[in-house]
Amino acid sequence: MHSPISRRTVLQASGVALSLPFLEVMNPTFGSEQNEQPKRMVMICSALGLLPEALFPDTTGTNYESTEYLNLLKKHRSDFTLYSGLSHPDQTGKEPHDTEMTFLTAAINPGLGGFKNTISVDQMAAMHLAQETRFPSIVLGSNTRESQSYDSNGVMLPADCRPSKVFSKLFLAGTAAEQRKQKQRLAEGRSILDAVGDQTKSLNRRVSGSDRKQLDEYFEAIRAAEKDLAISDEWLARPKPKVDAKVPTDILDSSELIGKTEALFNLIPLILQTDSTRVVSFMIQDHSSVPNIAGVKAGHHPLSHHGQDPAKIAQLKIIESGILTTFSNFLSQLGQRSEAGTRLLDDTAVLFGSNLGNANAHDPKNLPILVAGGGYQHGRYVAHNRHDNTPLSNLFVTLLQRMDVETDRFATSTGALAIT
Amino acid sequence: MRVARRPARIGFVFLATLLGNCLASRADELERLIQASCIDCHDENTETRLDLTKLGRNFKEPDTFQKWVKLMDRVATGEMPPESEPRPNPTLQAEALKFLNRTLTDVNREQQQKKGRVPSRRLSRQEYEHTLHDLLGIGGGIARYLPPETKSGSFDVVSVTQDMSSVHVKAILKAADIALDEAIQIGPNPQMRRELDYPNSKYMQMWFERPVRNGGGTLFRDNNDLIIFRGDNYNLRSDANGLRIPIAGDYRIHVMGSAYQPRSSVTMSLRRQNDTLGESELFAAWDVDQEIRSVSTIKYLRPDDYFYVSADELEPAPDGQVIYNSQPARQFKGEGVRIRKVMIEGPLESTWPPSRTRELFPGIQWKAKAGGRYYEPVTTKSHDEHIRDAVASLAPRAYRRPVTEQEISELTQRAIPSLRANHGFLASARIPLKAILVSPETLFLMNETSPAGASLTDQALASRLSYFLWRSPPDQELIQLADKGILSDQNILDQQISRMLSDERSDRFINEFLDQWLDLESIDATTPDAYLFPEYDDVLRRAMLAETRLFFKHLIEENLSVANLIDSDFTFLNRKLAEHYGIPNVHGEAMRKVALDADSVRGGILTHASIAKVTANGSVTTPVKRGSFVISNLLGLPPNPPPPGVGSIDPDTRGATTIRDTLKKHQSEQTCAACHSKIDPPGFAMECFDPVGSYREHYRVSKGIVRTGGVAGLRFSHKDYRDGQKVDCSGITSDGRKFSDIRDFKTHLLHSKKQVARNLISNLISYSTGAEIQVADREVVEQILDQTDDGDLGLREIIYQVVHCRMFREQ
Repeated sequence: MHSPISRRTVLQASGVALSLPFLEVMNPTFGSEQNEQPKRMVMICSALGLLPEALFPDTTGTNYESTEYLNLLKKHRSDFTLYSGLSHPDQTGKEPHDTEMTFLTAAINPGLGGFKNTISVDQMAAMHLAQETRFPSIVLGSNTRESQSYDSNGVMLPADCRPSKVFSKLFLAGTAAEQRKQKQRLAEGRSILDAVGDQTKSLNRRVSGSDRKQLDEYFEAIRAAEKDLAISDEWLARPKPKVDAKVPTDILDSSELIGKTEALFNLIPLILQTDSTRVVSFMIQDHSSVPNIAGVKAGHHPLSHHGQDPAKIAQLKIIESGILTTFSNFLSQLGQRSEAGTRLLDDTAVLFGSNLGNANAHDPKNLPILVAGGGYQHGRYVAHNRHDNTPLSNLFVTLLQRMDVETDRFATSTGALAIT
Repeated sequence: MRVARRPARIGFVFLATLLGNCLASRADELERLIQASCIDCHDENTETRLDLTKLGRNFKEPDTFQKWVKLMDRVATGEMPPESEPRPNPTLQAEALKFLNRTLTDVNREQQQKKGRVPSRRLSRQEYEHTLHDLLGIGGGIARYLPPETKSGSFDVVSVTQDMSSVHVKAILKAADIALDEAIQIGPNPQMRRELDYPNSKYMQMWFERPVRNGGGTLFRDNNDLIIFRGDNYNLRSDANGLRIPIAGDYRIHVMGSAYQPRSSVTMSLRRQNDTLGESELFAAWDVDQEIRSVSTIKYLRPDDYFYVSADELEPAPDGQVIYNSQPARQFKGEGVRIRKVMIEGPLESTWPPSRTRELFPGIQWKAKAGGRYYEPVTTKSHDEHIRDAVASLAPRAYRRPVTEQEISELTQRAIPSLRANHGFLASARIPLKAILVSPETLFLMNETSPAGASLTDQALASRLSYFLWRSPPDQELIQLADKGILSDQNILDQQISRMLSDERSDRFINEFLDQWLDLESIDATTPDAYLFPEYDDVLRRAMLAETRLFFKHLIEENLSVANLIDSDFTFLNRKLAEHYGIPNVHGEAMRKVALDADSVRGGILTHASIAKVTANGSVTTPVKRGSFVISNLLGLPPNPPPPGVGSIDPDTRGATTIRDTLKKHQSEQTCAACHSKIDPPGFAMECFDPVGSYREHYRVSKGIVRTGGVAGLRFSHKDYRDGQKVDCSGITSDGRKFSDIRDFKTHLLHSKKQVARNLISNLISYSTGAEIQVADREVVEQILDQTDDGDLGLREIIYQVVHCRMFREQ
């Protein structure tokens, strides 16, 4: 039954938004350095943009005057930097929303003839950290399995959109029988991949040059999957972190855009604190239905095409304010001090942005980009040239370097963009 | 309009036949043309992407080759040099192009002969689903477990753009597991036949008694019938009303019902919902009147699915009251649906364990244990040997070729450690079976060629044919013909095409080809405002898709001309869609062929509501998107993407300006006009169809009424619009033909019949072979076209020609 669930229920059910101190008594995590706090990265994309005139201030620097949207983040002012004038070059695509595929990859001309995606910046970091945590990355989507994360072959990693599933994957051990079955399935999987690997090799000897490329790719994919299964097997033997929180209740109604978004936001601090992964990507999607928010009478996507109609703009602002408020609450959770006086936010670089600069026109330039935490000096609004944008990848380079990935370039970057 | 101009590609064949043997001098002519007409802009100081002083002349180098193809096409279509520059000497240009075409064709052909035209390709996620369905006799969703195909501007089967990574491998392992779970059924016999007794279910009593504000009061019991006044999913859900779906499978659902207090057409519908997967689906929709109607449908259900009887197109009471404010329900005067009986029967299996389990393990008998609580295999020889039999039966069907003894024994070996560890017969047998389903032999179409040359082996031909028309592996008949080596015999091949098109599996080809070619898969990509377009609902959506699919199927069945795609004097409608189109005297929910009046705006796919919907953006339409659809999808002449740095139009829909005003810039600014004079006009003609495909003379604008929640299932439950500005559907095609509406426009477009045929043939070749049309393939396409005077080819004939052509028959 699709009875709407109130936001209060969500907060109670997820049980994680309320406080963090319990997290400090959690098991030490496998593989992580105990003394030095690990570096983490959270990449958030709100796929339908943010109304530029409600977001960007007229003046730059540390003394920028706040705006309607920035007021919602006022208490975090010293914890984030806002950018304008950033975008990915050559984003003309087949369909106007195809830039959803390239927000974290910067591949050019999404969806046009011969398009192949490339690795996303979060996965680049995840690859670097693969062995450190139970999951190389956690990929979330507010409504569907579509994500913004792509592996090194340009293949989309399916997003988790059910908080309960993420929770049980991360924290629930399962019954002895389930564990046995899982162990057996893993062993079975490894044996099968071994067989299939042999077949691929022998098939490869029978075919011509151009076919070999496909088979080589498959063989590589099998090897990588085997490695993943081996790591999963290793982790299976180690207990999952225990958390003092109930399994969150999933909201199924797609019109609960804010509730669903918030429920996933609430999980991220728990994911990071338990060091289950250090890389999270989260896509806030079009929910293809009228959001259940007072004052909103049309779908998010239709409203993003407001055509300058003031009534539509007003409703769009309600939705976007709702999203920004969930983001602000998320920052508050990351910003809570532990008993040791540390903040998760200082170890976690958070990027919040969109693949559309002006959704009314599907314009992929002048993207709204906000970087919070990560130990940077914040509190500024930095405006780059709005007619000749700076590649967003320059910022990605800096974020990668922060994660100790030794690189001075990413996709279409032309340098590294200093954050402080 | 660009298409009406004689397209340059037609010229290629003609030129090719005149080919002389003085290639060297022709190369000089190419250089002379470059010097005379190109180099001024395209030298080392160029601001464009092409520098002809740097572009190599070694045509065998792949990148260089691609650039020259592009260059040749842009000169041949007259796009280059641009209109602002002096015209090249026509003889010089013709000679240079002739040289270039011959050279590029030869280079390409040589490559094709040396390496094959198509590299091996992997099955698409949908093909993998069909493959597992047919191999294992199952019906559950498999594609959903696999990563989505990357959108790359072409069909998902095109080899060079397919990707592969460990994400796929892990997903395929999971999908194969789920498929085997469904294939191996040894639980208690679940077959049942029972009534879903709504009026007497405990759950339902609650809704009779509860007040409206608590979700009740919208239905009542009339003797042993249930009367409902809205379409909704919780009162009538099958699970809550006491029905458990024991296992996944096909079930027959039988419904008896009628319209209650009808004043207009009323739809009784059946919907499925799955909260675990977040899916809902319209199973069936029936037109009902006062007479009790008895209907049934066979549907696939999973244990976590539920279904419910629902209602659509209901009218409120004559005084405008809806059920919520007109209590008690018994006295409500609005339209409703009377449900007399709901029966469910299934899973529809002839034996238990089901035949799919039995076929997976040939030679094994199954014995009921523990009083039928589960079934156990009765083995007559060693477990190893039984597993070997299962492998020997599945592998050749999955690999689509005979399998060697060695392969069988290697696969069987994989089960041994598990057998020795006492994991049991079935658990051990799963390992080699799963290995088969994940094998590259199953997953890749390798396009093996006969030792003699480039022609596909009969087995590879059988696979290509069967993945083309059925999207799954060849059946026994095709395999036997291929094994005998006679499938490539033209008569036998033609008999097989005919047989395959008559088989219902060919619906997969029709649906999935149209999904990608005409973008029907994007029908849900945007949603129109429910207040502006209240007539759009699931029942209409279903009829919209059915129209286009049945129309295309009919053109194939009857071998009707491609010209019908542009304009036709018939279409496929049911009552619902006919009402939507304003066409009278079509009754009932069944789709059927309907003749159109001579002056109808309908006819041809551009007038289908489905196409209007996929080319709309939510509640608005833009001529750019629709025009681009016409020239790209229908004509196959896609415009170049806008140059980098060109801003997009910021729509303003406040009503003061129309879309025509907004687009004026496209004509007045030279950089825009070059392409938009071709893109926009077809879109102008299609402006007469609103986002859901209704014919309109005015745009709808909101009256700004207070919008409140409506009642599900009510016709025009929401409605908030009045007539706004007049729609202007007139325009001038890029070759100067004036049109005042869509009918005029279609008359002009009929001149491009041959281009539509060329595009359809090219698309079918790409789709069936897994590679787009290459330079050397063009002359083959022209040969097919030249069999008739003006491309007036029948669709069935086109499919035969595609299968006969060199590209289909060779690697």
